[in-house]
Amino acid sequence: MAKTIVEKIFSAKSGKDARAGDIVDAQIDVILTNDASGPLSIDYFEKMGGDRVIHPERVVAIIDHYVPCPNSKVARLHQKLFDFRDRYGITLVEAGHGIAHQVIDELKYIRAGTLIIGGDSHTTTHGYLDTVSVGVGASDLAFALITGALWFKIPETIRINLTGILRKGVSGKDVALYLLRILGADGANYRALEFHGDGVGCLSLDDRKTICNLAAESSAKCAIMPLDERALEYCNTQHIRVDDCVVPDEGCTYSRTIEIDLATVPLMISLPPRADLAVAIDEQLGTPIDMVVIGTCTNGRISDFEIVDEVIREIPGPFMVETLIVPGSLETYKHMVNRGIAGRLLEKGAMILPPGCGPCCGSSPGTPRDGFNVLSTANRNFVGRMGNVNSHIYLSSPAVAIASALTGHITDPWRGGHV
Amino acid sequence: MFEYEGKAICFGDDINTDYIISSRRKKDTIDPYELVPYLMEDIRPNLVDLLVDQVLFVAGENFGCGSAMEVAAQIVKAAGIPIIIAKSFARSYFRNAINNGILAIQADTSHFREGDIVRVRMEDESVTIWNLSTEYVGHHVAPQGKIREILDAGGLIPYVATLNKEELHGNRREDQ
Ligand code: SF4
Repeated sequence: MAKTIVEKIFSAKSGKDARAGDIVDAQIDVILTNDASGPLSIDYFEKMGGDRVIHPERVVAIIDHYVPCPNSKVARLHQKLFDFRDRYGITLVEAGHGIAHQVIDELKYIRAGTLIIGGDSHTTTHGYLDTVSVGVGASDLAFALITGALWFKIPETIRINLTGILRKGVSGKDVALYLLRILGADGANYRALEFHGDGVGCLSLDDRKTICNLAAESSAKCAIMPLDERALEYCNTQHIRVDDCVVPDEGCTYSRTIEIDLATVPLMISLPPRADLAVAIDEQLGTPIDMVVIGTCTNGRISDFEIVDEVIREIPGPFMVETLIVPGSLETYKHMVNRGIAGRLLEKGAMILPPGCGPCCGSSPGTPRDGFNVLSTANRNFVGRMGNVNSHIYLSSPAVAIASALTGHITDPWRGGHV
Repeated sequence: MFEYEGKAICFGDDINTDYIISSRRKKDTIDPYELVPYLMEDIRPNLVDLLVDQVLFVAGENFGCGSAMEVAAQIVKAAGIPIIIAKSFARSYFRNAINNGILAIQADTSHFREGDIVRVRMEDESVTIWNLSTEYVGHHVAPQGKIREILDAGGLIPYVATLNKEELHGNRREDQ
């Protein structure tokens, strides 16, 4: 019988002829954790009597949520990760190097045909290179550390067909929010998303990461983009192996098919308090904004800050509101400095925070004040997400966020007369 | 074989993990046993009084949606509830339930009302659900493989204890 990509990868990793609905025991290629979930996983590891990590070379812990360490309680949690590294030989990336999802990508752990788990719901990001990449809980992660494997219920797959090309200025973030509006907050629960169609070709690799990242907001188990020419070329230049890449079989079963003509996707804004409450920017132009945050695992990459730079060179004047810039990684930050982007942002009054999650979930500083409307490039905007239940979070692309920082209200950067 | 009989405590659709245990309670402790008095407090204030009987949970769609906090499953187990029957579960809750030794059964629950006496029997291949109050009977396929072994052990932590060294590390396959 014809198989979808998840069915194929889980079959390969379990040694079984696996179908949607089956429960299999699958070998894990990469285990990712961070300082939010990692310490809890270590507790479970100990309760399970764990005395070794079976494949330490497959495990990466990255300190990204609490950066730099804010207090002694968190310092002890961080210490746990360091002790675990010393004892079991896993890789640990220290604070300041960036967000786990971005760093692990820069370190080239992501390779087609692999099964990746992470103690973080946005582990879905890594499906952009034809992998099954799934967020799991603390006990599951501990179990995988000990045994190298984990049980999975193989999901059904929703097929997303992308056609056409994006209009100028419209980004992967807008596509992600547009899709999220179609799917709804639990529209992909228990399901995998698989992306196809000519439209994929016009999406940069970074756009693809953003789309797979936001798949988590529709409760998808994973989001997969098979390698197309552009992805293959990227893998070649980055020396990433592609010999295990997977395509779905002709005639495999999809639980649903969604068609999106990229040419019809507008700039999008998600309204508080749910990411799937996404609307075209036209409905929100002029909404006053008190704070802007650019960064997070959704949109904190070099390409995001290059677009930001394009916009600030076009719209004169300083930022009208508190503008927090959080490079997704140290590499990104260095690039911003070397290209003069960081300097231009500072000139306009930005605050540049250390690479990491920043204020995304309130774990690091940058809490909005009561009554604030925040425009953020993150993926979540529920009540209290940034640490203050009396603030409202809107979500957008970096281009829209930075343009709005320059005007103080929701602004379309590509349409004149913004000031 | 595993058999259990209890009174149904019924919930609707989309019971999120914050309803199961409110985040404000988790500030003080995340010990599931200490949290039991607050189980479902916002939607069923007197739920604790019902726990004197043998009970099980019956729910609609998407039970356990919201955050993936494992304590939302641990607390149900700590309250002595071994079974949740729901039309569907949120993915992360389903995993957490199994890993904490709770039998999570996906089934049509429209035949159940509050207080119905329900019997659940899990055999090798099948799970049978009787609603003794209405004489409804439902047949389902029993969980198999690893998930069954975890359930039989009572959760992921005791499951690991049942494995010997070879089983723990012996399932290593060559890298492809
Ligand atoms: S940036 Fe935000 S969403 Fe991404 S991992 Fe960090 S806290 Fe989570």
